[in-house]
This record gives sequence, C-alpha cells and structure tokens, in this order.
Amino acid sequence: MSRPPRRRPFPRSKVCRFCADTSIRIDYKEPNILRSFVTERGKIVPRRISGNCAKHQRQLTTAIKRARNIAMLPFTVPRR
Amino acid sequence: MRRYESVIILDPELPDDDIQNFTERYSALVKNNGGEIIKIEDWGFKKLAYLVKKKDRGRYILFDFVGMPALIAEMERQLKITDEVMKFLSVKLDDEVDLEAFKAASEEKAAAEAAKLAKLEAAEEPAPEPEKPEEPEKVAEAAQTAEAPEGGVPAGEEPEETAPQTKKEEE
Repeated sequence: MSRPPRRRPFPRSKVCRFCADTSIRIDYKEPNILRSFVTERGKIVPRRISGNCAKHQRQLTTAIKRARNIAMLPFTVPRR
Repeated sequence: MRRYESVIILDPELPDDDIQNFTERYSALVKNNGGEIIKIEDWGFKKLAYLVKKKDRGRYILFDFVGMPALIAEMERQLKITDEVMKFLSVKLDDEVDLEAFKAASEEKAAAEAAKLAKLEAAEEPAPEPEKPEEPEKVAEAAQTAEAPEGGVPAGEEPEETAPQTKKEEE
C-alpha cells in the first residue's frame, strides 16, 4: 500500500565541499559560491541535501544571511 | 582596537566625484576617531538581488579599517543620515588588533596594493618604497594564501574525485 521502503532518490555528494577543498572560503562577499547553496526560491539548502558538515553549514548560513543584507542574494525570489 | 569591514551600497547615479568625496569623508571620519583605514575597495556597479530604494543597481564600496567600538557606532550613525547611502553592512572581523603589529605584518601587503590604493590613500602614510613593481606583489600574494587557511589541516590532501558517480537507479 505504502510506497516501497527502499526509496532512493539520486545520491548526493556526501562530503562537505568546504572540507574537501580548503581553498574555498565561505565569504559573504562572494555570492557566486553561496548561490550554489541556495534554492531557486532563495532558500538556504539544508545540510541533509547539501552534505555540508555542521561547522561549515553554520558559517554558510551566516554568510548567506549577510549577503542577503547587502542585496547580493535575494531574500525570496517571487513567483512570476 | 577591533577590525571592521563595511560594505556600503551607494546610489548608482552618483557621479565619480561624489564617490571620491564620500570615501574621503569617511576615511577622515575613521582617522579622526582614532582608527586606521586598511583598505578601500570600489567594486563598481552591481545588479542588486532585490530593489533597494526602487533601484535595481548599486555602487558597492568596501571599507576595511580598525578602530574602537565608538567609531563604528559613530560611523553607522552617519551612514544612516547620509542620503546617498542606500544600504550598508558592517561586520566585525577581529576583536583584538594590535595596530602596530598589524601594520608591520601588512607592510608587504600594503606595498603590493599601494599602487591600487594610491589614489584613495593619497593623503595617508607614504607608500613604503614603490620599488619592484612585480615581485613584492607575488610575495605578498603567496604570503596571503599561506595565511589564509587558518588552522588548516594539511594532512587531508583532497582526493580528486574523478571516479564518475554512477547513479543507482532503482526501479
């Protein structure tokens, strides 16, 4: 009746991207890096999807929020 | 002394003279309150992610400076009053900055950036010898990148994931 228990959507990269490559710095002034961790609607992608570690997700969150404040990232993307 | 960074979005219709004026005014403000400008960056015009004061473009200026907490309070107060400022954000980068030590450390960095900042910092301390226009830049950059990953663990060499991730498509 219910859906099969083993329902696997396509696998995501499970490694935190910022741990894997220490040369990338989380910086609110670089919206291009941050943009890949934001949905099309402008929401922050959760850790379970992005695969970030807790430390970097925290840094990322503040960075995204700062970037929103200086109009580099949208707060929301309105539906057209 | 604390180190701060302010990103300021100015009216895009402002002529360059006024921008110059603005940066000078605020560097003077920083210095009059016992602070020191580290760098000023002009990022030029950028498209905004949302409308600010009914405008979709803005002129971004970055101030990097050290000073006491009173300075930032005064600076933010002034920014709020100033009409041409559309939006701003100040971030504290460092809690304890020893100005003298910091100056010495950033000497070579300053040398590399002297050319770039020459216009903006004309009134400030004379650039430490504009000799070797190419070399110190590289050295400074190398030093910068070496410093950058604070407490970085060199042990974990990132293994290039060349293995194609095969998607298991069940059902």
